[in-house]
Amino acid sequence: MKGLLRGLKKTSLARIATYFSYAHYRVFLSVLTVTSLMIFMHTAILIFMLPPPFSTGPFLAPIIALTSFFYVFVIVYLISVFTSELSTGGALLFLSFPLSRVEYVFSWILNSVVAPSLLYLLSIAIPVAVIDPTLVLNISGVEITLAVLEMTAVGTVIFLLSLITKNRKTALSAGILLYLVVPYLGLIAFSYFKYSLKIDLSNTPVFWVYEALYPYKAGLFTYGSVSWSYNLAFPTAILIALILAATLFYSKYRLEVV
Amino acid sequence: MAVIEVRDLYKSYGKTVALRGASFSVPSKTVAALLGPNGSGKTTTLKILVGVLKRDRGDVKVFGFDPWINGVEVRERLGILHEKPIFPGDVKVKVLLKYLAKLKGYSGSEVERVARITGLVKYLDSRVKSLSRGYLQRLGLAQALIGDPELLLLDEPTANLDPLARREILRLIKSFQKELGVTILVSSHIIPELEEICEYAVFIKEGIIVDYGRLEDLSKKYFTEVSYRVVVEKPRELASKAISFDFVKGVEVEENSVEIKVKAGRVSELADFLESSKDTYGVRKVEFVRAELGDLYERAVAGT
Repeated sequence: MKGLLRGLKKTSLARIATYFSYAHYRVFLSVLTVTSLMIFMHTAILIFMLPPPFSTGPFLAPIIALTSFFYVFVIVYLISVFTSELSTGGALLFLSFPLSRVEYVFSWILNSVVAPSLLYLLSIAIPVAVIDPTLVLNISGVEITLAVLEMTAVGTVIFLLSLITKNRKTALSAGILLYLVVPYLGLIAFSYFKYSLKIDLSNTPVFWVYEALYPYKAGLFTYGSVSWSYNLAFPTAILIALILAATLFYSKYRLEVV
Repeated sequence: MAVIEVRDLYKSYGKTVALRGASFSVPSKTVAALLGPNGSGKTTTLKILVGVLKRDRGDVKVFGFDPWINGVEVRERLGILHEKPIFPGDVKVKVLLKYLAKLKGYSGSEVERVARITGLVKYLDSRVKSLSRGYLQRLGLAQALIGDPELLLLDEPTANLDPLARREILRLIKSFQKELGVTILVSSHIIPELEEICEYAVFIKEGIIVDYGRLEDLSKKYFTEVSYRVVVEKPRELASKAISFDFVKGVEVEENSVEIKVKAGRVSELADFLESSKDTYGVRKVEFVRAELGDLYERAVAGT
């Protein structure tokens, strides 16, 4: 751990910024296209379909449920670009320059997980602000925070798996499984237990793991029975920090490029 | 002073052992050949030197740093052309080189400089995927030269090139040492190419360094006789005097030089003779006539 901290001290923001801007330059067009499409969809939904907002509850749920389903493919695609760069030798070029493995991997986390999650947030905020700036103040910060954290948390897990396996197929299958299959199957299972079998799993470790990985969906599931507050975000924030530390640790001590 | 120091280096990929106790060093301002057959561990050695592969065991120092731990410090001072380098095809040559230069703290003018050296100027605005194999190799050399590195590592620099492109790349490599004064370690299995450019050799076979050193020293070690070409004003007179010594095994007179074959263990006696008779015969220059690199490699391998 000491070594990792010492390594982080040597990390150069300038080099991260340089590599990040290069990696972003390569995928800019696809990210821009999908984000623009999201802005258009969010605008249409907000204008035609949404009921009047109220600030305390998850009023954006219909939007997020619909559009995040498509948007996560951007994250999965970007992680797969990273994985193919690692496995086909593209990474070798940049890692033969004064760019550390930690800086390289961190730039890709920013590029493939953090930036798209924030762009998704913007794709909601921009139409809301354009339609009626006062609406921005009415959006629940908790809801947005949970949605973005969920996207980021799952993204970091997929990223770590892809980094370790250096396999594009892993990125794609883990992406589909963790973004599209597990969260909804989980909700179906929890609902079945709760409403059909009358067994409440919300105080079991299985649900805690689900809650840490999918805080937004878990929050919706428990909405009404659990306080809808920023407390819901803490386990996820800790999970992200742990996965990030594991990713940087792996990059520093184990990542080899052939 | 040695730029590269490798001691007892081991590296495996699963059950395949790539390096088994390799040890060698490369002094500063030398053009060194890393010579060995395919699969002998050359590429693995270079990748460990640049810090992208982790050694299993042993000690590696480049500029006094461990490349796995202090990779950034090492890579700030070296450039590497990998075997079959992969470049992003959808990016313009200029853009790619600009980003790479920025990582070394250089601006766009550095891109123009390396493009001029490698003859890439008119392709700067082309996309990488439109370059021919020969020009991709030039791009590989251009990126390796960014920031005027003190050490160049070249892994099979002429692999998969047609004869014309091959000659051009060799000409470029020769000019790097002459004009830029860098230390170069070239890995190849093509002996005639290395012979043209190297003065130092590291022989590798099945992950073991068989021997290494200056070609002159290796020749003395593996051959009973070595040759020197003496550029001189009175070649005939020098030749007839030299042949009278028992340590001289033969002489060959040319227009303004004499090639003297001498017993490997008695080179110092020839040096003393040439020094003492410098003015008498008008000795201008003495140069070592290197042995064939292939012969040296065979003898080194046979000796293990």
